[in-house]
Amino acid sequence: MSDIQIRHVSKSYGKTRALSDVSVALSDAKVYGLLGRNGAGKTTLLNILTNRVFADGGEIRIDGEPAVENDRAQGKIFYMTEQTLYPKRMRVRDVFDLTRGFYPAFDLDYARALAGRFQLRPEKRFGELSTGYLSIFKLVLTLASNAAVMIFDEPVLGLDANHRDLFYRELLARYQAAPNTVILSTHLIEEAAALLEEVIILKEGQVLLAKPVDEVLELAYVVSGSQENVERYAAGKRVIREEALGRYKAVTIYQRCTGADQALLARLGLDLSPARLQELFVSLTNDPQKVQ
Amino acid sequence: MKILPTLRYISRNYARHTVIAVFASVASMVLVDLVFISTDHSGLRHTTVQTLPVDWVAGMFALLAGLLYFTPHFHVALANGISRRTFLTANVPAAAALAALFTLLSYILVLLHSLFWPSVMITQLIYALSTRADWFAIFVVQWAAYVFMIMLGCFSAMVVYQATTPLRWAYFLAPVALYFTLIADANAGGRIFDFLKDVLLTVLGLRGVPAPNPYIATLTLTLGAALLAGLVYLVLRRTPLVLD
Repeated sequence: MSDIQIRHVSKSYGKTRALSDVSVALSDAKVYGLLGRNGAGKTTLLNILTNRVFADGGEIRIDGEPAVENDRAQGKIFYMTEQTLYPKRMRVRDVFDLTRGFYPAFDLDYARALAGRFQLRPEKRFGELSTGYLSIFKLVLTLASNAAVMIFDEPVLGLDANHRDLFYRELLARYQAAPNTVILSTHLIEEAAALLEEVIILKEGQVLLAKPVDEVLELAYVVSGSQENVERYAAGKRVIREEALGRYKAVTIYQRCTGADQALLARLGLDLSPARLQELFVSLTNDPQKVQ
Repeated sequence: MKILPTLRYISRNYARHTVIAVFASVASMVLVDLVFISTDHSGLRHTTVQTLPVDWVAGMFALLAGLLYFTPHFHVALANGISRRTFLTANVPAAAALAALFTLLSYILVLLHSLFWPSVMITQLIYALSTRADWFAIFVVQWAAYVFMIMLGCFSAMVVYQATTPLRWAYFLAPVALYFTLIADANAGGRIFDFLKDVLLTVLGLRGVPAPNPYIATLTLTLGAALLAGLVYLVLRRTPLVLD
């Protein structure tokens, strides 16, 4: 079990409001995408969830227990921060050993094997690792932790395409073998989209949207075709993105496509396609209006 | 509570620190020996018993243990979901064990040195303690002093970590300010200096008793360490992760 309830959490840094009345629930065994533009409050929320920083107000419960200063609750979470919290002189293999002490379910053999697949040398010290290998180290550590909740904050930072692909495949295999709660905080939405079951989009410290990906994608669709007909169709609808090339135009509409809409599309000879998560994200986070 | 793995991690780093401290203590003994030999040759030597600073070197390393390791240990604890309360709880036995190790090693070094040259530590000189007859008194007072120094180091590390820049400067410049205040005071009759000296000598069992009493100092230093640990917790309990 790893049910996380975040209720009315707020946090300010001086005059900057990082989070404002954030409430969201995460249930067991799902892959969540925590999305937001830079400064949206993603890392602050994760830091509060894992006791790195304290909220000014609100509360977080993990399986019904308060998350603040609670070893048992925190022991269910492994958080791969963007910043490394281990001393630079520490060797990778020493961190593996150390983590096994704190997380009894840590799979040392798997960590070694995975490190080998990523060509990460366990005898290396942190200070010697490149940005990419630092990311590899952290994702190996998190995957091997076998924690009920695995949090990845920008897991593929500095990774080449092959290593990114390997990570996504490994995460999926691990999840299928033993489903747990995974939170992926990333800017590379298109790459991670196929893995995500639910998305939580933060904007300016508030939850803009928290829904299953399928539902989110159903909320919008793309219509393309001749400019004149597209504009005719889109009149009065909530258009969140427009692209035009010559007489061709494509618009993303943020509302459900009804039967009447589909009939109109057919009559106007327009193409209908699902919106992509990244496209929707960009549109929503650029849109000043909050989506309910 | 995950006290044991936290304690294991802290102790492992302290063990490395101890090795360096032993080297520094041996170096301090060699230095004193060289001075001893040179004064002997020049006819300036007035004593046959050497005073070795190994206990003071150990004291410095005890301070450094708290100062240098507390913050990195705190970060590793946070990385592994350890609460601040558990972290500090693990730090107390780790400090006690390190202090005991430092005490034992200082004692052994002096004993070994005494095989070649009669020698005592500064603590023994202050409290007039014999290496063999008063070993328990030496142990407890040094142990308490090292625990106090480790906790002082931890508290200072927390000040560096958490305080605003002006407060940080104020904390570290306070001893310098005190020094100059005492100089000025000495020129004006030395009343503050005398008062502080009286307080210090009394709480360390060097005044107001028929003979220097190391157990009074042990009590004072232990209470001081407990007070510092409490202060560290007061600061630590709401300390967020701070990264450069």
